[in-house]
Amino acid sequence: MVYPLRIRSCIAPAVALSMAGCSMHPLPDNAPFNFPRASTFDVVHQVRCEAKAGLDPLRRGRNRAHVEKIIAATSIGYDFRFVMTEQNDLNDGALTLKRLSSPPSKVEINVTGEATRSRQNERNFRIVEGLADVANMKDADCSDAARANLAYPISGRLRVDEVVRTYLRLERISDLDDDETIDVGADGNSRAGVFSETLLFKTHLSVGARPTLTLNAVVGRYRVTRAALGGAVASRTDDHSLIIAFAQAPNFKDDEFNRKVGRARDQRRSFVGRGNKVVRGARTESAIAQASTEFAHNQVALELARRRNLLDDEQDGARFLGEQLLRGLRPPDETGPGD
Amino acid sequence: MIGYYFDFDIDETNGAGGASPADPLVQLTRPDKFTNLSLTASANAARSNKRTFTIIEPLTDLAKDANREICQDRVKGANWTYPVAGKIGLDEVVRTYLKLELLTELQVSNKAPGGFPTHVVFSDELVFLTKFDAGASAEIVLDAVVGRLRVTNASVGVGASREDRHSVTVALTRSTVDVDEDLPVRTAAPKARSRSAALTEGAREERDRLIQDGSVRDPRSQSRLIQMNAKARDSIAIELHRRRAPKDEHSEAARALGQRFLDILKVP
Repeated sequence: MVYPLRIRSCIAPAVALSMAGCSMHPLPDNAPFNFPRASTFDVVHQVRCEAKAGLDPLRRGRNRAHVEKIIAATSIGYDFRFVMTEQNDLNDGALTLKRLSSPPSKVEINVTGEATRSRQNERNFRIVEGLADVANMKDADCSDAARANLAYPISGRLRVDEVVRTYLRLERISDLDDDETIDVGADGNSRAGVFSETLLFKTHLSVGARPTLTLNAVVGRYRVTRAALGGAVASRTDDHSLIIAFAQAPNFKDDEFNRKVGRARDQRRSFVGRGNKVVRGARTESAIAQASTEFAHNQVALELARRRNLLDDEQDGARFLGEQLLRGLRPPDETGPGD
Repeated sequence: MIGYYFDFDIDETNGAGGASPADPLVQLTRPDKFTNLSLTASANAARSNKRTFTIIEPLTDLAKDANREICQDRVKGANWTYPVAGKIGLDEVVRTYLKLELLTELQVSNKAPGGFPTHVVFSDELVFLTKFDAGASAEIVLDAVVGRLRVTNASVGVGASREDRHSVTVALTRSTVDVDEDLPVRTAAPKARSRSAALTEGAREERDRLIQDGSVRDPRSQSRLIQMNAKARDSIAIELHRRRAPKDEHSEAARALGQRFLDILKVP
């Protein structure tokens, strides 16, 4: 009876550890359990192809001239962050040797051991480009649409096509109506044309085993009486986020529109900036500055930074709050740029 | 340009004493139960080392003959126990960065006059944690002898642990193309520019202005704008600092203060 038990005790952790994916450099490519894999490049390529797939139907529709104008005036930005953690732990390993003798007395030796190994990779990059570049990708470069992967979403279809389509439709109904004159209102108020979306995916997989071997002590001899492992655990956690932002160049419409929008922008600029702070508050000022930029490229970059900062603040709220408190406690002459 | 930030944090501890901190080393007992002497002793030692350094160099340097010769003797396999000593897969990082650059470089607007650079800053942060704990304890239990003070229990425990926390941050970017962004619809741009003096500034100058006049006050957004305007080497330095800053020790005070404040705000 002892030997089958021993075999099971040895095999169980081995199977548990081998089932989980082990990689020295955790990447989206080396997903465990043979889930469909996608390299970083494949993920980016897939996102761009989906964006193109979202553009194509509208570019072939009856408002195609209008859509082309929007596309030409729009910048798109992506902020990718892949955080992958792999852990292989052997917890609470214990080996007990016992010797019984007569008259009653005992000698007991306990040996313990524990090993924790983890590998984490955090990959982060941003790409900002013209939507026209996405629209002009060759069809041959994009294979058939991938299917959604619910276990490991980043490697499957992310429905970015819907995001792009929604942005274009909103642009069409909000501030563009083909050749009709746009009334931006007496206050010069117009939509800033920034549209962003944050996608978060988290997958955690874990397997473990807890083997124990117990034997009786023998009088007069040292003998292993207990060998146990509190847990052989292997886990992988994937925390992926993708921020997509769109912004359109504010000056691509007709002259009348440009004149009014330009006036509104100049007015907004006067609300912020050193010396003439009508509006106070870092976030409000940043929002106004973002709306006042003349370049879609800069708008997208600011929007990506803003969304990423919000995500970071959510994840580390205590640090953010503490920083704000410390900043508030400092005398005004000690605060530097950005404070 | 490629930059690396290495952070090696190593702790070692050794301890000796009773089988557990509460246990005596030696216990002497007489059977009358009124005489009991426990002797305790313990020794603990800890050593810690933190090593950090940064390297920023042109990517082309890695392809030079001198570097190739150095790399001939490199470790080729992965080291699962002590990962940083083996192959950690940075070849994939460089390959992916170059592929992404190619993906965004081969585009229509970049080829056209006035096309804008895509500002790809690619960074990877690898953290390896290896911790080993080992310990042994021995205990002897003997019967007391009538009329004599005798050792009835002797136990000893020794333990040692080592924790290695190694992190490598790698960032890659390239020199931005020395042309400025233009308005995407180039037919409308010249007219628009002529109407307002403010429109004459390029995207680069606009980013400078947003920082200089304090329009963008959030430090992280500011650093992002500065990074977009910076040269490749500076951009790498900013990226490495950005990745490192939240984990720095000086952030701990803010984190502790904020956590305390949040605790106070919680409903009892």
